[in-house]
Amino acid sequence: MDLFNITFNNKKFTYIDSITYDEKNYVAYMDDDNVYVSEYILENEDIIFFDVSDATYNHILKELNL
Amino acid sequence: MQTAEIRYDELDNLCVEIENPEYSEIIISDEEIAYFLKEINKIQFKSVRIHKNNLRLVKDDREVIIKDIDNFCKKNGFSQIPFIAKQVKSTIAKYNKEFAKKKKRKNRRFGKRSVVAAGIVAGALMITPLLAKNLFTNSKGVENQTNKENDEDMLNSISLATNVSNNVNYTINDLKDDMVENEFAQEAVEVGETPLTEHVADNNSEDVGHVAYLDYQLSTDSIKRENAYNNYHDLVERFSAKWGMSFNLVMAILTQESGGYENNLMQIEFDDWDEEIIKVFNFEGNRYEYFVLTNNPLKWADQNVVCITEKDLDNPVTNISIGCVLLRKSAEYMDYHVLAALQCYNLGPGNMNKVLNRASEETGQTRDEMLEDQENVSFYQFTDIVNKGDPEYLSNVFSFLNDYGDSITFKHFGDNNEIIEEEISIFSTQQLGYH
Repeated sequence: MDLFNITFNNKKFTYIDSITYDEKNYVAYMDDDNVYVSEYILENEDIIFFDVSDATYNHILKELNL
Repeated sequence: MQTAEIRYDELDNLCVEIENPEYSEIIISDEEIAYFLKEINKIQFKSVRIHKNNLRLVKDDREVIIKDIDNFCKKNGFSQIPFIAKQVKSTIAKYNKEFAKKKKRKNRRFGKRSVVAAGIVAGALMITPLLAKNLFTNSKGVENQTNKENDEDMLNSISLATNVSNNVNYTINDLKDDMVENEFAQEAVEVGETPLTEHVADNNSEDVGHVAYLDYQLSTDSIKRENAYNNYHDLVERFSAKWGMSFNLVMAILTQESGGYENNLMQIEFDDWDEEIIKVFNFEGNRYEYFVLTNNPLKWADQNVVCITEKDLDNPVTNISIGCVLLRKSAEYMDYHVLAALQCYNLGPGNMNKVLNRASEETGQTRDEMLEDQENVSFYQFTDIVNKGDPEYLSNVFSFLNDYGDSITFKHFGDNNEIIEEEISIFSTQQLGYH
């Protein structure tokens, strides 16, 4: 189960898919209720997530066929 | 079952253990392992399974097991096998998207944050930009290159074990099929009300994608891409779905053909198709539709067909729709070999038959043998024998895919009238260093 987990704010989310678009990396993930999209970067051994705009959110969902 | 097991040993060295009834071998040489990984990275596996932190890949009677995926990802192991990484990533996505369908779509903001992602997820997040940047090198950053003499030496020392495209004699080590199957069935994990298991994909042949290797490079003409996409992506999306093919395929064709700058967006060759009833299936309307390209519609007045004149093709809506229709018709001529269909769209059926005939003469394969195998692109060497069209059409179209390894899909009917969706990942021989 942990193999599919993304954890932050003491909460676990489930990875769906990831994509590079327009030279930025995006990841889609979900909890019981909702599908989320974040931009991410790899910083040494850390993975840092950033929020995205509504337009980007919708666009990435479309790119990922979600 | 013949098995190769990849793992990091107690000294953190990557090693490959191969077993067959006659001998057992452990490969630890960096060069031999690099060669082995390069060879297995060419395989499109039929089954991708994750069980207790191990990854199991199966094709026919051969399997590859990657032990301790968590550790393998931490060591950036997938960078050495990007095509396998893509298959794993695609299978996870395909499976998890089913669960995502039922959930809301609301963009929620959490602020910048550091996340913890283990195993496969960490691997997928690391491999995504690698796939985009096409960094197909081994973990030490050295491109996999062996001269012919080294290839022969390695083949002799490893015997048939690494020649995975032929019969390979290695056997399973400690994982048995029935144990994996049974334990998988018992270990469904609940996420809310929706079960989420660790298993992804199965060996249903209809789920198997294909992979083709062509000599192409992604285009850097962003102006052409953006113009085509910005002006016509909505129409492409509409008609690619209607006529049963992937959006990226039709978008790439349109971009290559006109970049969105010309009236005849899909560069339809009216004379190649005129005065012929074209019957195609509308996958959204679930019915057949009939078209004729003709500048004399009165001739067809008493028949239940939609007439398309040359002037009609100046209308973007008509042009893109009919472009897709003609691609479908090309596919019918090519027994639904998708890449041959694409070349046929460019050359016309008559010329494409000439290409196939020459390919058959030169390669010794029959036309049927070539068209039965979606991965067989041997015809592509002979597209220049006709004095028409673009002999490098496939390379030029695929240069407008979004990424190396992108998949294109195409629907058609099987022998029992079932809908089959062919999926082909298009890789570049230039990027992979394969020739």
